[in-house]
Amino acid sequence: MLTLQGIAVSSGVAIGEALVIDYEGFRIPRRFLMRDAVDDELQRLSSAIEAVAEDIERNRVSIASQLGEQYGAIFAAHLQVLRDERLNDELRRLVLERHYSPEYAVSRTLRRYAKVFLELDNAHHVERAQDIFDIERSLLYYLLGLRREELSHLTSPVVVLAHNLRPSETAKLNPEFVLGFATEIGGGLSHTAIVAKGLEIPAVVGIGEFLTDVSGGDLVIVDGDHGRILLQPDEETIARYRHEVEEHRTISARLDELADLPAQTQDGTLIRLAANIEFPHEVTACSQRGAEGIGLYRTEFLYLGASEEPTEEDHFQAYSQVVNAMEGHSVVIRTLDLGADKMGQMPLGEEEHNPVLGLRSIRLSLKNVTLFRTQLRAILRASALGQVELMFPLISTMVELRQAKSVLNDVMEDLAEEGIPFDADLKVGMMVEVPAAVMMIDRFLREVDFVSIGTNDLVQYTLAVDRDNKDVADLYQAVDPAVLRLIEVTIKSAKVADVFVSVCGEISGQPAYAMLLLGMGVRALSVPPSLIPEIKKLCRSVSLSDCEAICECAMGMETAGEIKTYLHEELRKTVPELVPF
Amino acid sequence: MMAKETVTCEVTVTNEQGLHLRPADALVQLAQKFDADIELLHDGACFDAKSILEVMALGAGPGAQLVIQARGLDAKQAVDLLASAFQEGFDQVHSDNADECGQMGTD
Repeated sequence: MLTLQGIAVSSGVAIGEALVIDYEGFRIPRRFLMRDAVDDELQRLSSAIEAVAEDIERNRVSIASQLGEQYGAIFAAHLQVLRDERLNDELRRLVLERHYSPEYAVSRTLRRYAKVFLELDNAHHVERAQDIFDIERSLLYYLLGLRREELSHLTSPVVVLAHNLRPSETAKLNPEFVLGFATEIGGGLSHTAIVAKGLEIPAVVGIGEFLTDVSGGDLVIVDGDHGRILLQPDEETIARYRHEVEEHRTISARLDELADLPAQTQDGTLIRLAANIEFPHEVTACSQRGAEGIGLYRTEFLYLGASEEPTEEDHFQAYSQVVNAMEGHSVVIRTLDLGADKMGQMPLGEEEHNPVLGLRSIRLSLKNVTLFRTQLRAILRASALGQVELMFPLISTMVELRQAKSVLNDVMEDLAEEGIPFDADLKVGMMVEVPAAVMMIDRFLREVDFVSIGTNDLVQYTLAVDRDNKDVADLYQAVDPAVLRLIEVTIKSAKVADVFVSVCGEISGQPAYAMLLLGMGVRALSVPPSLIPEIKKLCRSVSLSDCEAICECAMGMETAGEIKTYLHEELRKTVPELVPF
Repeated sequence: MMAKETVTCEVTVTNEQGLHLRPADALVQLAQKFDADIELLHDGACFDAKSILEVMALGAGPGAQLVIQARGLDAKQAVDLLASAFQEGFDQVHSDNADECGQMGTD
């Protein structure tokens, strides 16, 4: 058994057959053969080997004539590998005796050799492993031919293991068949991670190289709660995880019974519990779990999925679907929160050395007013259908907020002139996620109807740390005292100014931390739909006076580690069933 | 009388980069000319000299000490030829490949 640590991005446990997608998107299935197919499959294997041998020989001749025999010799060595008797014996034996499909036999055998080379501590050996992968790929190319299948065409449940999944690929995953996924690269804040959470597929990313250790069809476990994957798990581990999955199902069934009950604390205060969503179809889950509106509707997907800039109609379709489905509950739509580097349609300006500090989010919108206006028009049109609120992300200066509002006013005037209906009293708010905004919060509060604290960016900008950089990722702590002070200042200032404040960052979805936020005075939380039952359970289990005492104690501490331990301990005392496994 | 005798010889990898892909290929090509079973012993493990995957898996870097071990009718010739190939470094052997193999064929 091999346990690998990555970054947990979407909770839950998935146990199932691996579907390995390598760098070139090959899907390598495990298929056992019917007894009477063995002869044909052996023939297919030989043909593939012959075809690859011919390719290699052609390459050898061509390279040798261009660059000389020394270079051609590289391919001669590839040919030697392909003709290796031990290799051929082993492949034939796996097909003949164990009834493996040739694809599986090839992948399994060559990866095993490649792994041996990778483990030898020497740069040249790593290159050798690449040679082996090259041969594996060539063989698979012939064996699979046109039978390479897309992820969207799955027909049986699998756990997807890939080098990387692009957000658009993730979006196409069908939760009915994709039990979970794990990738070698990627970070916790990537859109792939957010989409996984939206689809409620357990996922772990940023594991580092591991695809060489696994073959399609192997049983694997993705532990999205702890950010681990387990390869070749032993019987005991499988049993333990199966039990966990079962228990989780029981608890969530019990929590789902809370859907129609209010998020009311023991001392009688109602907490407004809303949902963060990315896709229109998520509203179903929101309603089922009793979300009180959408506290954060991310709109990045309209831009990420498409190769062309989304039209006003594309925007409007998506927004109106959500607004209609929420039947009068408020829907906070956030304008584009992406960097230029993530948008295929946008011509990139000067090379961005530091995208996180670069042209992104509201800055990008203000530089591309046409794009911004298109989105604002659609949001305003949707505001005629229900209770829509508008939120600007990543505001750092008063000037940005004023510019954004002035573009909004322009668009409103245009719509009024065209006689298109919209809500003229639409509430306008901003995300508080840059320390500069917190420093100026008293001034900002005079010019907005509400603020929402986004903790992911706030942590990153306050602690000057990139969570996706594993060398410094341990600095990234949502409950670092510096971050908590900024959150507290924002909440207290909003109370004084009598401006609505909510927290929509990841911190609000973790019961132990949500308890702290309630103690700070927050009365509105917005969390992913999947976490609503848990957070509702928390709200119904605590009293605000307890939360305030916990908050006071935590705010006296000086390190994230202490605070984390303390809060989890308090949660264990108050609502033990919400403590993560 | 030497039919079943095992012939061994200790050698050192002289290639600057160790037994990488091309020297491994050259070694395997030489080994395959013989009927004898030929193995390379390294760090207590035993590798088939006629399988390039095995030879590569040796992971023998420059200066590594190996033992060539052959068993069979032409074991002695095999060990001698391979030992000299090790001594000369395989890149050179590879470029003279055709000649060497030609000689072997007439033995």
